[in-house]
Amino acid sequence: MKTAQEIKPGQVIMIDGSPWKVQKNEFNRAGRSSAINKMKLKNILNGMQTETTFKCDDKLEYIVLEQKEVTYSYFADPMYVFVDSDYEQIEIEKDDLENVLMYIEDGMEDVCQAVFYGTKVISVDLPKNIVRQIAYTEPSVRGDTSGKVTKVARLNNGHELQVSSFCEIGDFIEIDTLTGEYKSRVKR
Amino acid sequence: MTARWTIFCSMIDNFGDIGVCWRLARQLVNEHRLDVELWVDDWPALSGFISAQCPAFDQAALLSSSHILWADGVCIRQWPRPWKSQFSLDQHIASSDVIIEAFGCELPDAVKQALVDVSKPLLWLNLEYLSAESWVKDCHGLTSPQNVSHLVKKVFFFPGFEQGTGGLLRETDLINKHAHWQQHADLRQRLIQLAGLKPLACDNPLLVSLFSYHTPALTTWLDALVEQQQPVICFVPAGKSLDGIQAYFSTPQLVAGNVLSRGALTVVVLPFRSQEEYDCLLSLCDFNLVRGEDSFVRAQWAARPMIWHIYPQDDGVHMLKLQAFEQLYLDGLENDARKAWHAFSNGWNQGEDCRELWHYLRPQLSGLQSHGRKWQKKLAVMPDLATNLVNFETLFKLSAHP
Repeated sequence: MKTAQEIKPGQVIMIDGSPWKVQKNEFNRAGRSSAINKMKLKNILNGMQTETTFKCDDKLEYIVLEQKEVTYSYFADPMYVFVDSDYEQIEIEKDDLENVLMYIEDGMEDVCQAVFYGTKVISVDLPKNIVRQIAYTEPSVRGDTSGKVTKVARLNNGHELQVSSFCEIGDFIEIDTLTGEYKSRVKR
Repeated sequence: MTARWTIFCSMIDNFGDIGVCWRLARQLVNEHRLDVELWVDDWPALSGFISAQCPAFDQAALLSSSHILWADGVCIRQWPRPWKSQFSLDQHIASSDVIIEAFGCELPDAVKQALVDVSKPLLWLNLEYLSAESWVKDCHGLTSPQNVSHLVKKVFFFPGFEQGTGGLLRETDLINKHAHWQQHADLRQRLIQLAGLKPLACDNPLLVSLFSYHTPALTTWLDALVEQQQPVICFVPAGKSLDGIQAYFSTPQLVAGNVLSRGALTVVVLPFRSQEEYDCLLSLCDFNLVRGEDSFVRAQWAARPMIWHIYPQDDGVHMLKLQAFEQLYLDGLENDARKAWHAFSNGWNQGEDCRELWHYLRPQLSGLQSHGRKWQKKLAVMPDLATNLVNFETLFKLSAHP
């Protein structure tokens, strides 16, 4: 059992005997010491989606799922296709990639973890830190080397995020996939 | 058969939680003709509260009672901690039409266990704290699966200031009562006489009420009241709010009926009053400093200028809640009054020096009063909390028995 606030997106909880994948888990402070978790859930068996609330210390039954290393291969609308070390293809829907979709791009080499419920893949986790290339950003601001001043940068797949103002087009940057934040510029 | 609603209330701090639950229970009985059982865990504190609401009750008799009493049509029962599980009692509660756990208080485990075997649909409501934050609308009315019977539906119900929330507690006749109190000048004069001041001799004093948490801002505000030209009478209900007043006047123990003066300021200590008497006090004062949830809501119905002392939380999250309320409450208010209200509210809630801030706010009271009336009207357009709860239960029943 885990408390509602310990549950992370991608994990699966059991409700009335059915497995529900947590797609989002938002924490809100109510009055005094109480807190509330609002979850967006997807039923793994029938695809039904719903939103629920829990007290943050409500205990929920969650299940530990099998994982397998995979790498991204290609997009075959509407499925994203990954391959495992045996070159077996694994297909997953866009909705189930919600938390990582912004980092999926052709040619990416990150070793990801596909999460299974039985034989069905329900999510793919990226490594905590990944490297991506900047496709476009405004010219650098001269004189700032502190990294505290930020600007918007667009990645090759169109995703935008804040980066240090000294970053330039073509630079490689490290991104924290849990927070979605730029960490540093890296050499390649 | 009349529907039976069961409310669980844990009395944590003063009479805020029970104040809300008692108002709700009475309204459900009086206006919606429901059977209501109110379970309260602090019996000694409850007996003091109830004897103030219903003078016919003798507090000593209440304390020695069999832990069940009837007041204003509400059945009040003692919630023993720890819960003494009895099969028949647990089943009795589980056979309610609605169970409300107020302010996130946990139902006893044995009662939860009894919910596994219910034989008819039951709505289990977690009635949450009031907040003006935008996330409240997103969470209001969402279910909370509990792995009990499929006949039981647990839902989070959020009071609020906007459409899409559960609304605020408001009895049907409340707005008319405020209009009545505010039209009768003799009521105001009677209040002034409590301070021992002759009405004609006191040059139309400013009347203020004070019900706040401990804050260093209090001393600085009292300084400002002492030095202002217009006489001011500050009414303070007996209770924990008096600590700061005692310290200011270096008086060891204040009791109801005490009157203290310094400069332009006269402080009157009031006895713990019934909810209706407190509503009347809010209605007659020119400025109300209120706290927590119950008095905060009632001050808005009184439509007088008011400042909210929000319950302080360790991580400072209360300031976000205060800002969220401010954004709604001050909408449409003229700029100078808005700035003055914001400055005093922030100063008070952060324990800062409020002396100058009061002198800045004081000239804005008439504008704030007009604004308070508009705000009251805006809120009154929405259905009240009790009605929303009853309507929610009706829809639940319809969906359970299509």
